[in-house]
Amino acid sequence: MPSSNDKFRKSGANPLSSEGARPGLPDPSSVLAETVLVSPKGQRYRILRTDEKDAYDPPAQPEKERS
Amino acid sequence: MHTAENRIALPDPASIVGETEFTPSRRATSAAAAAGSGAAALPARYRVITTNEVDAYEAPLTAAEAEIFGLNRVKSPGDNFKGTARKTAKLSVSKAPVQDFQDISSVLAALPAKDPKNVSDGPDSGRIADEERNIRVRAFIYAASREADNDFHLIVGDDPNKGEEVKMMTMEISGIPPKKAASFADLKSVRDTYKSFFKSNLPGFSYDFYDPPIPIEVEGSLFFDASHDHGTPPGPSKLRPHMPRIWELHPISRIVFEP
Repeated sequence: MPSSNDKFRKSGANPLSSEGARPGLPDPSSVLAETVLVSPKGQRYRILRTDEKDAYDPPAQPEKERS
Repeated sequence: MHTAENRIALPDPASIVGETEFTPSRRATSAAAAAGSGAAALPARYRVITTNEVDAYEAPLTAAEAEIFGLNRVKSPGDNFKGTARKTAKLSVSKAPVQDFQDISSVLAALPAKDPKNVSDGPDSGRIADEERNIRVRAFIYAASREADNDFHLIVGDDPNKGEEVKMMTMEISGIPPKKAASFADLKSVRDTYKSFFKSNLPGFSYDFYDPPIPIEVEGSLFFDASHDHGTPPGPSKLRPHMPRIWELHPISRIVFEP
């Protein structure tokens, strides 16, 4: 079973988090998903996918209907 | 690591929307015990293949969900530039010599004190005099999203160790111009480099944040985005206070990750 230190995560608390250590992280309520990118040089970056768009962009279009 | 070529039960390639690697954290003794027992060694890494398949009785992934989660292989927005506003300027690289800057704060400090007035937003609007500048700077990507015109919109700032004093600005990985454009080779190379670094983790139409911010060395032409002259400026809400100007680096003409 994966442990809490796994490199790939979809959600939940993350041991990589530096939240609180620097400015500019998103509002936690806007975070939809989380994963980790491992760069070609081996550096690990947490990617926080949010629902935030630029204020002038239209929101995602809801689907008209589902079969 | 096992691949699609050497085992069964992998998904239909057409259903794949993302891929990443998963490296389990194991106690060192586990591997030693496995070796000692003669059991087959566990893989060091697993490939995680995300598909758009759901059980037949579940609702399928919607286009809106695909946008939010950045599943670009579902939406297939392409790579070509699709915008019109100031298209001529956005797809051109100034011929001015490259000026080196220490950080984003120093770039911002070197901008004209007053924003230009009456810059046309039309497609034929070329570079104005203040935009005939190329800069090179080492900085950090804090967040990024994909725009409807196929540009990738990067929020780039100073070293995060500066804390609340960090300044940021927008820089754009341009959609690819027509092949006949003078900038075609440079802009395609930049986009290829960007996509190669992020692979299946490209941002979607909402913002991704990076923790820690990703170090880059970047070159490009200054650009005044007149479309943001009024109303809310670009950038996610938490970063906008660090973005004092609406000047951009647009397009990025060279980028190096983790220099």
